[in-house]
Amino acid sequence: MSNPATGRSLGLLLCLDCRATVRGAKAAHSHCPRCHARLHERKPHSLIVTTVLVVCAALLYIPANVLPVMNTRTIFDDERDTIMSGVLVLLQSGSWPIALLVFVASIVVPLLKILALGVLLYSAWRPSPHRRLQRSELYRMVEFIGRWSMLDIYAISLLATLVQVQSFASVIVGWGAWAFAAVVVLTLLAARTFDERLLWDTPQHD
Amino acid sequence: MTEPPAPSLDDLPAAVPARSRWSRLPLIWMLPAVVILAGAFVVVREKLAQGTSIEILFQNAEDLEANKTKIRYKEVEIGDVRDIHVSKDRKGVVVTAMIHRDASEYLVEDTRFWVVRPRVSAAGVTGLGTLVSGAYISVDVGKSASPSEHFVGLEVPPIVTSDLPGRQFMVHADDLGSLDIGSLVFYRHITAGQVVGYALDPGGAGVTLTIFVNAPFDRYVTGGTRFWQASGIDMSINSDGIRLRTESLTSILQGGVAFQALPGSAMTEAPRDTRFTLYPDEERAMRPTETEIRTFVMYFNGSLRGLSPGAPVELHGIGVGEVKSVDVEYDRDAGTLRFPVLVDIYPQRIRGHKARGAQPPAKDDPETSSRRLVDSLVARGLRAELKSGNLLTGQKYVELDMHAEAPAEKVWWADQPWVFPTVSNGLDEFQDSMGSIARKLNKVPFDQISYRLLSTMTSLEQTLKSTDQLMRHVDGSVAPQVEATLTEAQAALKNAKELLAQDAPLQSDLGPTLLQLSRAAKAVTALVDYLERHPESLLRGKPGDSP
Amino acid sequence: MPVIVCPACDLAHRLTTAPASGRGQCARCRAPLQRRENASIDSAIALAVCALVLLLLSNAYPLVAMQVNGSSRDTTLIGAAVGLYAQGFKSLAALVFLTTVVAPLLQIVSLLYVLIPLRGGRRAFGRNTVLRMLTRVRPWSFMEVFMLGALVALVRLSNFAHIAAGIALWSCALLMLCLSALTSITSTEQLWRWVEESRE
Repeated sequence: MSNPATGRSLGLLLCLDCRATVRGAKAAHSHCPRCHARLHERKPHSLIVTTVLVVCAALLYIPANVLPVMNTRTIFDDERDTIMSGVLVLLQSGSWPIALLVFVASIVVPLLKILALGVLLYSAWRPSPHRRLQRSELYRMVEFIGRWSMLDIYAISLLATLVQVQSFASVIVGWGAWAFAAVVVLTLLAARTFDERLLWDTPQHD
Repeated sequence: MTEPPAPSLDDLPAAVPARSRWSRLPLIWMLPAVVILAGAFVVVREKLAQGTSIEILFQNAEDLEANKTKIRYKEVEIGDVRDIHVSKDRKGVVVTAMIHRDASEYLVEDTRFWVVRPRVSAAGVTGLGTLVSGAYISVDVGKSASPSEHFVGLEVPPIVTSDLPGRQFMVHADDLGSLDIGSLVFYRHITAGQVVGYALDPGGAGVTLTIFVNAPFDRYVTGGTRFWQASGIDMSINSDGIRLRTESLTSILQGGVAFQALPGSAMTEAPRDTRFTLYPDEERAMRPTETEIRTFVMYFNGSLRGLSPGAPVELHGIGVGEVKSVDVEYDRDAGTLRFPVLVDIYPQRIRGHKARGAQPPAKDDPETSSRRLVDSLVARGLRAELKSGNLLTGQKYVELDMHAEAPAEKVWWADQPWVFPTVSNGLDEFQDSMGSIARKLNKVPFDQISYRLLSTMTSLEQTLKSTDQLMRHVDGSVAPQVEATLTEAQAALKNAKELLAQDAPLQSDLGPTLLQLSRAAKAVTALVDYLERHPESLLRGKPGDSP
Repeated sequence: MPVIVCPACDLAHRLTTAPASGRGQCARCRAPLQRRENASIDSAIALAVCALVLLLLSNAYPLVAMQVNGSSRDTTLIGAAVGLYAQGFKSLAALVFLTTVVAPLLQIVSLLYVLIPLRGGRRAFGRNTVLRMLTRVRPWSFMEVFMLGALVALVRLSNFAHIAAGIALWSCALLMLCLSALTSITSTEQLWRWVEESRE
């Protein structure tokens, strides 16, 4: 089977900002005739930038899960909650659907995203014609679920704002929250800088 | 009239395409319209529910926080502090607060605001709960009808809130004494209220206290109620001796006011804000009011020392008057000094006592009846006399007594002031001198004297001993090398006595002196001994010998 | 022949004039392709106006109020970011502020800015730049995530305090629905299609 006609093979460029198909603009500094955005055949330095972002996210994932995201100070004690212990607190209080939601959004999703991006990067560095559809769908899943990890950050920010009962109880944000937010933002950025077309750039064999 | 032509089908109008203004407006525009309407509804409702914005002026913003501090009435939140800023004149802080709509009717002119925070005072610790929950602003809703949005916050919580059952009264005093805001008010030693405020009278001639008497005690405040200072420990020394009184432990610390109705006074409740007088003590407060007062002047011969205004005028021990003032007056004609003692006599009391007798009181007017009474008594020998009530303190009083032997006197009603005849008998002067002797004796340090006496004795003994030694020396010189044994010393003393006996002047001097000294010592010892056991004899003398 | 290229796998497709339901997808990687929503500019503007009103309401009124021993505290949408800022987490506060307040606002305002003149066949000043910005800002509008986060916070708080939902919570929920509807009918392609159509 011959290679399918791609934009690249036909000399067509897609403007990522307005989805316009531009014909025959090969020059490095070409602009979209419709929206005047800079045109690139592929996202520039996609693999390098994405790799760096994913590595940073993976490194920050450790403090994000080890450091407390939230210190609950009452007169009696000073309770430090990591993401996981926050989930356990929710579980103990009986609201297991919420606990599950937080567990998935805050622990599973970031981990899954980092792993999935790793797999995608690997297959982009070493393009293989196999299972490209699954990888493409994996990428779309990463893009879709990524934003939901922010959930815990919002919950913490609301708690920290609300629970400020003078000298009775107060919630102090921990650096774990910062690391966690960084993980989420980095993976979101990584998903955006990753050019999924790279997965398909190898000649088709099947 | 002609028949109208039958309408032809060609003339019938065709349906016009519907041209509605609304058809051009897609249904989708209903959505933002609904949202905007709902939004406007919410905004209007919130604006209405938001309530009233008020400003409270405080001296400082201690413990207050914008958007955090709440305003509570009876511990129910009715608003919150929105903004705190320093007032334009920099004298305080202006706290802007939002009061809920349903509580806006509380915002009247005399509504009071204060900050509730932990406070420690003599009356106790309050506001401990705010240690945990943080300070808040409490409200006492006033009774005024005119609404207000600007208030001056209290720096200290008010003692009584306007919804506390009870009544407020004004009490006028010469000075504040040990009273303060928060001092307790007692009724028969039960805490019945508090002093809620005081103000200097215009002109500074006194202090008006505002006191609040809680229900149900407020109904015991009647027109005939007397208030008196019950502060601390009331120790009074007068001709009756020493009296110590106190209302309660708290009143010792904080000061207090006690009240009680005069016995026999009307039991009608006094209205709110009735003015009363604060008496310095219970005795003066509970003294019956004299409706009839006759002021006399008395001239005494003796010293007026110890006679002070307020001293009683007694008739056989029954108080019938009071000394008003003691003065000095120069008699220009005679060129002598006179000492007028102005005395208030309450003839009613005498009459009252007399009324107990068989004969009914005279029916004529009190003026003439009291004059007749005084006249008849003076004619029978009633005289005023200065007496010592208490020898120790030297307090004196005026005693009215019958002196049948006294020269006839008469009250000259025509001359003002009326002069009441006095006598100065020897007993009086004798008592005076006895009093002064006793006072002097009192000053004699008997303890020291006996101690000194003792030391004098020892030194005397030592002198004797040295004399003895001297004698022995003398003896030694006469008969040298006498052994120093006790018996020999005694012998030597005997010798010395013998020697002294020969020495006539020494013998005759020393012998009686020693004897007298020993007698004196014995007598003093006996006196000290007796005085120790019967110190009152200093004042009253030994039982048996009446003064 | 009009050609369209799949943004996900670079496969070139023939541009069909009228896909039946307006929901095409890439023949190779199944990415959504050549979607045409049955929506007019009017509905987009209407939704954007709704969203704007709801966003203003959400920011003007308290989201949730908490009552503990008689004292209550409430917070607004911005309050969440301010609370983080007050605790010294400035970057975190900025992130929350951008994703819950700034991004939705920019999304709505820029849409209105472009679409209202477009409806009358006019061209807003700097339209291209605004549209490009809109495309980049939109992925950072996390309203729906925020709602879920608020829900989690409420569940956690409800264990030891009385929680009262404020007006803004409801308007936030509506805003979330409004924004997702708005996003789905104003895809980048659709926006530019409107622009193209207005030119003709």
